[in-house]
Amino acid sequence: MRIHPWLHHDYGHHAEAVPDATAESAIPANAVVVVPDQPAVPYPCEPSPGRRAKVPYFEILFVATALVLPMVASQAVHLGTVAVVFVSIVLEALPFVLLGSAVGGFIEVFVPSDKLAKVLPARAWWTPFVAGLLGIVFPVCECAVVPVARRFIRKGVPLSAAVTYLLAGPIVNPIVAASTVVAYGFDWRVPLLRMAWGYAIAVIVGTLYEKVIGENAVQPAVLTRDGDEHACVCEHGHEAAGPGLASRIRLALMHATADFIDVGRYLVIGAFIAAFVQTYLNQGALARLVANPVLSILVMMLLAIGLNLCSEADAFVAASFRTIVPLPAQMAFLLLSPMLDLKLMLMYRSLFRVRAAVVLATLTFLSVFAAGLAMHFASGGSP
Amino acid sequence: MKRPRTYLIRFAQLVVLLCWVLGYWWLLRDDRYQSFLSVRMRPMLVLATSLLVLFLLAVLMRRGSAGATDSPARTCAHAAVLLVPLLYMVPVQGQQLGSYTASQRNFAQATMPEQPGSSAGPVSSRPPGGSLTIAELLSDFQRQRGHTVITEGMAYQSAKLPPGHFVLMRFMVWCCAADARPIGVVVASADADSFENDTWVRVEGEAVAECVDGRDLPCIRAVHIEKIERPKMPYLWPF
Repeated sequence: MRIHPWLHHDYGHHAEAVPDATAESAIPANAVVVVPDQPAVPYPCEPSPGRRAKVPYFEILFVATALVLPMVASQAVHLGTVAVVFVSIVLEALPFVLLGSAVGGFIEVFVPSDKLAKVLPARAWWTPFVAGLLGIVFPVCECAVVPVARRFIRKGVPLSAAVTYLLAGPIVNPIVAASTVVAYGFDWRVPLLRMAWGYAIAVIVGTLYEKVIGENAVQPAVLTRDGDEHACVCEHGHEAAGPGLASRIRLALMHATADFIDVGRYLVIGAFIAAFVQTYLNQGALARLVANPVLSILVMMLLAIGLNLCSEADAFVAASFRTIVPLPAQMAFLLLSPMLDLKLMLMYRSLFRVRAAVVLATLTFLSVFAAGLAMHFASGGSP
Repeated sequence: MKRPRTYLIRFAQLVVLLCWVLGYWWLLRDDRYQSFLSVRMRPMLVLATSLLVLFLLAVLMRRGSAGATDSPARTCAHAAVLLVPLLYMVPVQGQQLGSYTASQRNFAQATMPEQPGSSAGPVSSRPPGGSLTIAELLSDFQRQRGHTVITEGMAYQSAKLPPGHFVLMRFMVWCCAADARPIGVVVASADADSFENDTWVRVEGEAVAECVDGRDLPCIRAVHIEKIERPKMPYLWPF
């Protein structure tokens, strides 16, 4: 068992330990080893004594609202549009969540922690710089990086590296670069600026985040078996000890299923809220209201949060604002859209506690705004 | 009490996975997914279905000899959330974005392209004129000017246009309906005001540049307009 300082929390009698299915004995040299002061129960099959299961009020409220709304507001104007946009966002994002969950499951079972620690060591200054480039070898959008980042954290990857990957992965990748090139009529300046600023912001936020947030950042469910509904059902420890490839693949897929259900619900709820914003927000009017270039950066950032677009498609929307807002405002949109929007805010909740998620959102928002201002002033703009 | 807990959790997982497998199968059958997604997303849907089947098999094959740490109530609630999109999907399949959405979103092509191929859409290598999509017409407008073109779309009565004009528009979808942008050409016709919003029409006329609202806009001076059924694929795809 090992522990990272930022993983510590008071959840149960053993919960600060990070379980490792495939390499129990592989303890990184720089890890802090703790010795349990009471008999260890590696993977409990029942909730900790004295801890009551939370009632999922939020999910129940959502399901009730989603079911009742079409009945009570069936004649409401544009509810059909809301439904089309809601289903579209979910259908578009879900394959990536599934893919990310599958990759996360296989990382959990097949990638030993010590191997991961060599690539992304806990105390090396350059770890976030490497993490920011992982999107190049695994090019997926923002919905797929969330389950992968969960598994990274669970495997003991430093928080700074996990957050950097979370933010940079959907921008610094060849597919997003290609879509940006096409959207901007092969103006290479835009994708290059986007990738460079996206990488820089991700590294800065990732590094700052670990220092700012300190301990208690991560959801207990990410670190313990509690997050996996299948937990003991998969006979985790027992199977991992066995060498059978089929067993390990099955185990990886069961981890993936648990991640899919846990992350997917945040996607669905976020998409539902986003569909209302998409339907009732007049995008053109909002952008045209802003004559001040600095304010236009803020407006485009708010638009990015409200529209919840996939990072592989958002460049086309940004490009449609070319005649309305200046390039720094478009860049702010292009940078923030894959890092922070309504559905992502909720999906980050599958990773972080409320305070930690708010800090991440705030740091990201401020960094992108600062980048937008820097671009504005660098291009000769006035306040 | 371990077994009932385990079985309930497993049942909830199976229901979610099975419903989504069936949902994707239903979408892929007869290309129903095109009501929501671009055609280029089809491989992703096939991949998603394959992954769901694998997840389903893994859950089916696991041994249920032990308990579980999460409560069945939470698992069932999470599962119920994941089923909501499926409940919405079936009734709205076949619906499309219309003039209201167009009024809320920026037109992807609001002004005259400065040069051929400067806007979204494929550039045609065939002779100018004839039957074209709106995207083809706009992307190649300089070459089409002065020729007779035939194109289809939805009528959109914009308050910014003078009487005798409407916008013939379609939605260009890159990934999904959430990123759909309207594209359109102005149609000049004596009957223009008789076409209600979202009516599908086929327009035949001369491609010209016309000054509207202080801007030179791509325009079709219509000689013939007829109402048509909504096409099977109402959206346009840029790729």
